[in-house]
Amino acid sequence: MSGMRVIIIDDEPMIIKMLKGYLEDQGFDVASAGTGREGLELISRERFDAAIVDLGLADMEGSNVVIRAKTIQPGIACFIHTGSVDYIPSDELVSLGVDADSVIRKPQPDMHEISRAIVKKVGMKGRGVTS
Amino acid sequence: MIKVKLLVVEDELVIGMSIQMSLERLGYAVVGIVSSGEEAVEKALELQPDLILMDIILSGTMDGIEAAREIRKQVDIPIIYLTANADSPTVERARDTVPYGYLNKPINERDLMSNIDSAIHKHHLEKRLRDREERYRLLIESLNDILISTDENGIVTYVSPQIKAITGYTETEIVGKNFAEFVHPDDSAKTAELIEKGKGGGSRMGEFRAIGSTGDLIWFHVSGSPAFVNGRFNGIRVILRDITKQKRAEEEARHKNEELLAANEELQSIIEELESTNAEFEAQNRELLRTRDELATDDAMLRSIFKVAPVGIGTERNRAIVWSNSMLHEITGYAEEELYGQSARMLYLSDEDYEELARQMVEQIYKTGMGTVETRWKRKDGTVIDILLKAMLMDPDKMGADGIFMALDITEKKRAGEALRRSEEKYRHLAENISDNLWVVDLKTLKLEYSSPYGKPILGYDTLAIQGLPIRNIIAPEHLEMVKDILAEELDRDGQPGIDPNRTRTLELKQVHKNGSTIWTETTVKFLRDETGKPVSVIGVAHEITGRKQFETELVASEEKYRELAEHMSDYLWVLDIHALKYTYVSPSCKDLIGYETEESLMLAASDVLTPDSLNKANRFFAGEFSREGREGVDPDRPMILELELMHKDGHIVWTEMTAKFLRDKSGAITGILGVSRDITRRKRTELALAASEEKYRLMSESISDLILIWDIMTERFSYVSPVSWEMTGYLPEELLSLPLNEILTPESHDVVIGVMGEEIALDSRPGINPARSRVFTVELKRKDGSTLWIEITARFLRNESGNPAGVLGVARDISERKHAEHVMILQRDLAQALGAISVLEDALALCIQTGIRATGMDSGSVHLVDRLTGGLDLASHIGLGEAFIKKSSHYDEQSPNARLVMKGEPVYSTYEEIKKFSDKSLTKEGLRAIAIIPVMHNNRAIACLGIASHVIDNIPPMARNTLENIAAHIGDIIMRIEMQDSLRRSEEKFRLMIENSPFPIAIIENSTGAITYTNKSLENILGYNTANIPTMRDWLKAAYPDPAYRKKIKESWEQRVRDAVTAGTAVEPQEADVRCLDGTLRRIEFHMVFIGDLLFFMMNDLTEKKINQEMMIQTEKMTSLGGLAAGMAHEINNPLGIILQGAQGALSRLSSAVKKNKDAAAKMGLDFDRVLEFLQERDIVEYLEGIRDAGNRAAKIVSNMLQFSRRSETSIAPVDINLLIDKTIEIASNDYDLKKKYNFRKIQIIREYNLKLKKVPCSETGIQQVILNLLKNAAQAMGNVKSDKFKPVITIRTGKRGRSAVIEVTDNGPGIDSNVQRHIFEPFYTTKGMGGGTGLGLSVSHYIIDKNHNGSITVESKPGKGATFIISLPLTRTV
Repeated sequence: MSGMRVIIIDDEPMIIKMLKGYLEDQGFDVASAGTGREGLELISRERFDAAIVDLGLADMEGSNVVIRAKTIQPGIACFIHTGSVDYIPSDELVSLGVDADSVIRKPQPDMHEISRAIVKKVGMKGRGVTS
Repeated sequence: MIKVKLLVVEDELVIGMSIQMSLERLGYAVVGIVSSGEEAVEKALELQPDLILMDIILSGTMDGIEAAREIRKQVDIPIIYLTANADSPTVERARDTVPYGYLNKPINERDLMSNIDSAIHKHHLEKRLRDREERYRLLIESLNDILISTDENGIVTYVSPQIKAITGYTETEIVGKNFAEFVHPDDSAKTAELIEKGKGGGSRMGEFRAIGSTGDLIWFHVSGSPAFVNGRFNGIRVILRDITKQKRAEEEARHKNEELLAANEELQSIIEELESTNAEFEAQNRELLRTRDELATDDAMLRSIFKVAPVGIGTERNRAIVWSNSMLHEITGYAEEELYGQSARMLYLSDEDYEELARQMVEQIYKTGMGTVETRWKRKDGTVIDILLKAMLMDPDKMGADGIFMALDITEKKRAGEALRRSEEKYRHLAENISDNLWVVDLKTLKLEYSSPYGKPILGYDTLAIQGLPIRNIIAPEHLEMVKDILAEELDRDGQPGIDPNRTRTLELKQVHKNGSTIWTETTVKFLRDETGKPVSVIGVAHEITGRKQFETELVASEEKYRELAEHMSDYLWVLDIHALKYTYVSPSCKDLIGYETEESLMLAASDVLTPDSLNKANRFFAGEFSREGREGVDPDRPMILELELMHKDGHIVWTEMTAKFLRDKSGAITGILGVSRDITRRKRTELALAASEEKYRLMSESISDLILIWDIMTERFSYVSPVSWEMTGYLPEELLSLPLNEILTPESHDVVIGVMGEEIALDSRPGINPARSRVFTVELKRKDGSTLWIEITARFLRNESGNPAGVLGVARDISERKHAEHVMILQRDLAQALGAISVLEDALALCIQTGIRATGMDSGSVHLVDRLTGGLDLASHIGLGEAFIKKSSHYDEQSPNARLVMKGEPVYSTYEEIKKFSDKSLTKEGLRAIAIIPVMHNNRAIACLGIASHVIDNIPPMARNTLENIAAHIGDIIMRIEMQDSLRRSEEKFRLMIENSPFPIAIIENSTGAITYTNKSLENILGYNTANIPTMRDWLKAAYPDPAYRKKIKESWEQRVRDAVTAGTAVEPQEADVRCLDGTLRRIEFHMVFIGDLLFFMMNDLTEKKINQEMMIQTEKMTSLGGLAAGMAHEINNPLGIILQGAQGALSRLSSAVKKNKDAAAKMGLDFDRVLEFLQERDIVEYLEGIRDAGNRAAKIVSNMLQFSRRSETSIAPVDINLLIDKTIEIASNDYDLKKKYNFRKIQIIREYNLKLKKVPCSETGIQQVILNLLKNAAQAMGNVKSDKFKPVITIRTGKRGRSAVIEVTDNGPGIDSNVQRHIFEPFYTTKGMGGGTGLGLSVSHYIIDKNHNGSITVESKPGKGATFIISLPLTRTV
């Protein structure tokens, strides 16, 4: 798990702080951005294994951030972080590999679910890439 | 117009009232509504309604059918049944009560009216028909009899027209008067009694005398029976038969001639005697009677017997001849009737002669009791004859009594006697002393030797001329031998000892006169002797006794003849010696009468001949007669008449009538009884038969007007036909005698007669068959003019001596009138039957015309229909009319006389004379000679008219009129029926097309069999099913609901709905279901069901598209009003929740010893991680964090639950018990965490004010539950805001019904809602609860559910400080 790079894009600083803290505690290398644009800048500059994107960002739609992120780094595993209960990823996102498993619901009663989802997603990908 | 009175029998008061309202709206009078069968019977009898509407199913012991049966038993009121669901056994049972219709519930006014009108009409027709039938029946039964109806007081209300012919009174003279007025005073008590008894019921019969208009007496046989209307005595109905003739005949027959009746025992003899002339009959009778009278007088027992005596015999009374016998007729040349009543003077040459004769007779009779005079009579032909007349008095003691005379024709003798008398006179003159002739005959030669001169007048020979004449010349040959024998005998014994030589013998000699005539002499002879004493000659002294002898001879001859007659007469004469009690004389006819030979019977005692009863009777009778003897006024010669039974030698009983008279000696003492007994067995038998039955009398008297026929079986021709044949057959009796049977009978009737004859002959030989039986049958007679006539024949065999049928005696009666009535009835019945099967108006009308023609003997007819719009007449059907006339009569406009005539509604019968006067000449041009126009009425309006006419007959027989009016009624029926059928058919067609082409799928199912009998096009189009692929209900359920659980649910739901509908009396609640179509797709279908009898009608509404639209709409609305907001809200909340939860989790994670980083961080700060943890636990910080985490999780759950409200709501609408639902909701609320914790819900007092009668309300269970829960929460929250210790929170929940809606009220006693808030209270996100207090969604969602999903309403009523009430109103019936 160590060395796995995760970027959190969220306009809620407290979310970033707590999620970052948690993931770092779990051994992830965590970067963060407060806006979509800032996040995408970071992604275009640095390599990330996974991105956790808030759906309702202040400057842009989370799904668009994901699509852009995928064009910048096609190998990045993107997660949509949302408070909506009935959110379903669009077909475009699904085609980019962002499916139902890539949706992290807020609030998350058990944080370990998040780390397990990332590991699962990135791991699958990693095996795919490496093999 | 009088309103039709109706009685309604209905145990559901509401239905009864609604029917009453309908009826009254339709113009009927409802005289009562009753709810039980018993009441119905009572009211029907009391109120006498025109019609009864009867619910079949009634509470109580007596159902509608029972009640109807009871009512119809007593009164004739038509009944229509009301029924919701009549099964066929019920209908069958109901049919027995002859209902006039059925009305299915629910009842619509149109059906009600048409049913009632048709029932009243039908009943009216039936009643009229029944009345007529009744009258016909009576007509048939009585024929020539008079029918009288009276009311309860004896006032005549109806009398049949025959009254006129019989009594001379017209009907109008009788009707309105008391029946008793026409009864003979002597019989009025009897008839009054009859009527009084009659009131008790049963029929009464009797005879009474009435007084005719001319004052003459009429005998009636009356048979009366009481009439009861509705159980009350309503007068009597009497049939009177004129029996005057019969009575008269009876009286006559009885008085005049009982013998006639005796002879009449056999019908044949009745007829023969009726035929024989009365005069002859009376003559016989007179003679018989006179014979009997004369027999009673003993002085001339033999003499008086007979008319055929060889002497003329006559009797005179007051100098008039009252009786004469046939010899007298022969002698005088006059017939009896010419002599009867005449003076005997007519027989004499002159008055002088007659006076002289009378004088002499009277003188002689006065002296000796008898007179004998020779006289001369002048015969009818003028010749004069000599008569020796003897006369005497019947009663010698009375000179004025009847005289009897006997006349002997002595003309011939007179001539001889004349000469004799002359010579006698001469001799008398010559020798006064020697009156005898002395003669001497030589014994050797037997020749006369001498004859004295006196011989001359005797024998006619001179003294000289006689000498030498042989005695054979003067002695008649029959005496010559006798004389010779006597002489030989005397010569033989002559000289013997003891023989007187001078002896004499006296002989009566029949001698021969010189002229050859016979002379009688009394001659005394003796021998003349010679010297030796030897007889040589005979001397005789003769004197003539011719006169005496001749008279004697004649008397003997006549006596013999009388005796012979007496002994040959059939009456039995006898003489009984009173002392020896033995018969001393019996006439030979005793053999015929009692079987004994004359000699035998002389040995018999009276007790051997008489039956014990008769012996007693005779003894008593004669004892009585003996005791009367010698009393004053008792005629010793009285005839005594007694009927006695004699025992025939062979044992059978012979009835006799004895006429007896005492025989007396000179002193007047009784020595014996002279009796004449006559066989009256036959008469007696007849009398008994007559007494037993008057049938024969009637037959006899009726026979006179009926045709009497005697058919000879051998010759196969009539041997006798009574004179009335001409009237009945058109043949004279003589003509009929020569006609064979098939000439005068129709072939069918000829067969009938042959058949009957064969049967009877075959029957005749069987034992025990009554030989005198009669047989009645009807035949159709062919009259001479070719027309036919129905006659009824009563026939019986006539038998020859051996008892075998030799002929048939028939009495034929014209029954054409009866036949006609029967014929008409059959025609009408056939017509009614045929009409029932016809549905084409034209055919029916033609049939009616045809029947009219056949029933009346007319030859043409037509029916015009009244045009309802214009009132004109249009020809609809016609028979037997000419082209021109048809053209002319094809239409009459409403102003034409014909149309106006019809509109009057009265039948018009026109004779030829009247037709000729019509302005409408088309009738005469057509050649119509009689016409009947009968308007056909319906509801007092002419709807058609029947015309029946004849080209031949000049007027319409009254008999035919009833028939025609009846047929007109039929036409009315058929028109209405066919019109009704047509309109029914049209409406049926209309409905059929509507169903067929309905956009809604429709199916019809037979409930009892489950067969799907009909599916329309839409059903096949939408669902793909039809009667071929789902023939039964089972097939449908399987195909439509493949899931067994769902199928079961649907079925149960239907059953529940049907039960609910039946209990509530409402329509079945529609049901929605997901139906799998034939192609496998699912469709949402709403089913509506109606049942009509056994048929279930399903109408389906395809909600699939609508549902989709509706859901889309809801979703859209959610998106706009709630959905989006909920999602947004979730997002808004979930983000801070995420922070809280993640923060809490993060914090706990960072206190976990499992995380190495934590220990590292602590070590870096020089802290013992475990000690830090201990501290945190000591201060409950870990626990706090866990609390935060749990609360966050709970909040997340709340959000998630709340979001579910905006999800697709479950909207399946089903009937729900609202009260139960509220209870359930309160239960949920009390277990609700928030309510429990935050608002202390359990402390709140819940008052339930439910309307327990509230039926199930169609609604979405979850939806309503959600709304109520929300209201409870709001109330609890609002009351939670009251900060007062005294405050006791109360929530009151009421349910109820308001109009067509169910209402739920939720009231709290909280602070209330101000009007400003009330205005916005149902708007989304409007909340007064402040941050964290509420979402502002509860009431808006509630509003959505009630308003949009249930078509209901939710409102609030509140005043600040006085609590608040939320009112939910839900429609009880769902409209699609």
